[in-house]
Amino acid sequence: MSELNEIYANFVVELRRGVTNLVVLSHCQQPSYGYQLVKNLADSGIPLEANTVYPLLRRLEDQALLRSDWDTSTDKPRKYYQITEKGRQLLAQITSYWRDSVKNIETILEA
Amino acid sequence: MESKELIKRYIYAVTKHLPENKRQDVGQELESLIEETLAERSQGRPVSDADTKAVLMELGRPVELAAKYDPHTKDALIGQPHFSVYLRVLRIVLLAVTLGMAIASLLEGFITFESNVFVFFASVLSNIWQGLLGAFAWVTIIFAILYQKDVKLDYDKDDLEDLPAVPERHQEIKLRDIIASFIFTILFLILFVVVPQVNIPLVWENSGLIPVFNPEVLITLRWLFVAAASAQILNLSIRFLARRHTLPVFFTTLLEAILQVILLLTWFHTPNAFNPAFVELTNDFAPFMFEPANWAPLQSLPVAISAMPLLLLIILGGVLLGTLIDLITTGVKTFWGQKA
Repeated sequence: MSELNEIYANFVVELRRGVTNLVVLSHCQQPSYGYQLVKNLADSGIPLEANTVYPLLRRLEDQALLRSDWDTSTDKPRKYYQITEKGRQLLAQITSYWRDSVKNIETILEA
Repeated sequence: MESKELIKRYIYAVTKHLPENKRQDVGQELESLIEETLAERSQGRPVSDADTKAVLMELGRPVELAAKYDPHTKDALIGQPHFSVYLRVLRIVLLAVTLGMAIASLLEGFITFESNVFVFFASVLSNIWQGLLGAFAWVTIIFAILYQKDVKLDYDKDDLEDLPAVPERHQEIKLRDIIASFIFTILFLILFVVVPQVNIPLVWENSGLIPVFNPEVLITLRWLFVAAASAQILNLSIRFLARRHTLPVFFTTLLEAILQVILLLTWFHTPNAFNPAFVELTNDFAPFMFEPANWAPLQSLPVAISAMPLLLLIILGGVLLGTLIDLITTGVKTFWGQKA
């Protein structure tokens, strides 16, 4: 990998790190299980590794931003995650911050 | 290995790093993820071992996956901000130990009259090496504990209200003073605790080197020496971290002074504190040195002190005066600085 590509790859990782929480939290406004989340995000152009999403879901649950329930009604038991009230409040704050930032960054980039 | 067994082992390898109460739940969730991924990958055909391996490889190494579940896990023995302080302390300690061990080993070599130069230098190098290893281990262990236990250093105060004021010039503690005191303390420890048979050697015509103090007494009192030196090292460490006269600096200086006084009084009160051979030789030309100093001004003091040999009293007086001056200077700089 050339030096420029390497710097680019690191840059993308840094950018994505903060955004991942926002995307996952937003997606969990509807009950979702890990694998479905990975698929849906990939289909929306945000490819995230399962080994990133699963531990993240767990950490958000530990912070009481998500809650989870096992669905054992089918032959494939799945753990569904859904946003909590605390998660909703945080999501609103981060979304607003994100929109302002994107607007400001766009202004800078277009200058 | 069969696919199911491989999956079972993989999940175990991940979950064994997690807290007990999370293992089963995370394990079931991973199992569900692996099954879904395999089902999609095989598209209805029977799952092969190669499929399983590919899916597990995508998930990554078990230890790395487990680490993602607990991002707060510290993956370094000593990380920042402790690491920079650790490097600085280590440099000073290693320098002091090298100097101290070199001087002590050279003196020991002269005392034991090692005639083989190679054996002599090998023993000097070996002593220095052992000293360095010990010092390295202790400093590393202490800093690893400080880092792992999140003990905050004066350096990483991040609250604006807590930022330390820029020290006034008179309040500053110079690094060279700390290093000089540290080397002196290490030398003191080595001479009086590690090689008490050497302690302070004097060159005497026809008799070679004679230690001034009685080694047996030093061995009996070695814990007191260690305690006094430890108090001094504690004081120097606090001086190093604060780099100015603060209350902790003053109180550890006070502790150091108290321990020094206890050590000196206990030591000099012991009969035969001096090496008998040294006393014998000195008596030839200055017998008054070892007679009780029956000066009138001393008569009011407790018998234990007034009956001490003159030489001991001179040393005792000198050291106590030095300690008192140091304590007063530190006190004035601390409290004057606080008010300023």
